[in-house]
Amino acid sequence: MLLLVDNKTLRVLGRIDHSLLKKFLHDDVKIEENSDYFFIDYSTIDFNLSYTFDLFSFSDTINIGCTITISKVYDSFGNFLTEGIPQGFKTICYLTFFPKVPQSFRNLPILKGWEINNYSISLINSKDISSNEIANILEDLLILIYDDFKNISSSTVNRISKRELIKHITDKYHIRDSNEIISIMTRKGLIREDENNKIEFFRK
Amino acid sequence: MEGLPKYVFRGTTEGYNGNPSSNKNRVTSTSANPSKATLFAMVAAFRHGANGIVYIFETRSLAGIAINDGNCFSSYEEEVGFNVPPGELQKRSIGYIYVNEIRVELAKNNIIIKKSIAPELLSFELKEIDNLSGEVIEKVVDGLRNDLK
Repeated sequence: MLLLVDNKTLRVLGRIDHSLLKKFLHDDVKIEENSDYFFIDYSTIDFNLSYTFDLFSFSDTINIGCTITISKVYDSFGNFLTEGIPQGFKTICYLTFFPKVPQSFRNLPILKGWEINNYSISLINSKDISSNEIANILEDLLILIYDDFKNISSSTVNRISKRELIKHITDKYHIRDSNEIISIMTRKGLIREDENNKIEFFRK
Repeated sequence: MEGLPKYVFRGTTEGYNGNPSSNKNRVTSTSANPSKATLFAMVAAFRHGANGIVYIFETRSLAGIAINDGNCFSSYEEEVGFNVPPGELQKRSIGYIYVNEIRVELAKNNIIIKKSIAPELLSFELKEIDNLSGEVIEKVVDGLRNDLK
């Protein structure tokens, strides 16, 4: 899945060796359980402090169910940037995750600087994605869910209970508001709910 | 200035005195590599719709300005930071050159810079650019002297 929103994404390159961070910030570094410091690539736009992303892209997949907030920003010389990330700057950011730091962020390499690598993660705000792109994401999500059910179901692959679908979306894709996803999918004509609370998939 | 290259370069746009954060923190980034500074100028021009330019500095004429040694991490841009706002540093340059002019001069020295780059790919482009010897940089600067603004 490719998203044409690169100009509004923020690329997280990797993690920072905490001992170097102490030298860089000339201060003791306190890191909360749901936060960490990361090398962030040159930003193509300004991002205010407290700006929050609700999607992240890693290995060509979009991940949902976690919000990521820019809590602290430092330029490459260790200056704290009160305005947030300025356009054109490479930075070190303290990101705060809710509900917790996803494993893909914990798996990022520890870098010696702002180095391009194959494991970088792009942060995205769903508001910055056009409705067509949202439709594409939902459609891709539907394909994933459909494939999941094709593997576990034998005869009723095109029809499952709504409760089952909600549980599956919540458990596997960590989407807190599964009902909202289902109603968007319904509005998009990707699925239909019948009078028995069974969900029919239109994609073959 | 001891330990510094003979020249440093700053890619920006014409008439621009730097980002508010750079001015507030009184720090200006430059690059020891004119090719990389050219890429920064191209990206800045793309963003601001203005003429991309590269300032050229002889480091010996920056005496008295503290070098910022705060960056203990590596980056592709061969960054040299000075503890002075961009506008003040720019006044100490030997002049500036437009992007298209420096691209031509770099090409004469077999350093090919693309006509345009996407801002979001800046790191990828910087990574592809080789470090230049002092001799080549001197040749590039000498070739530009008559066109400096």
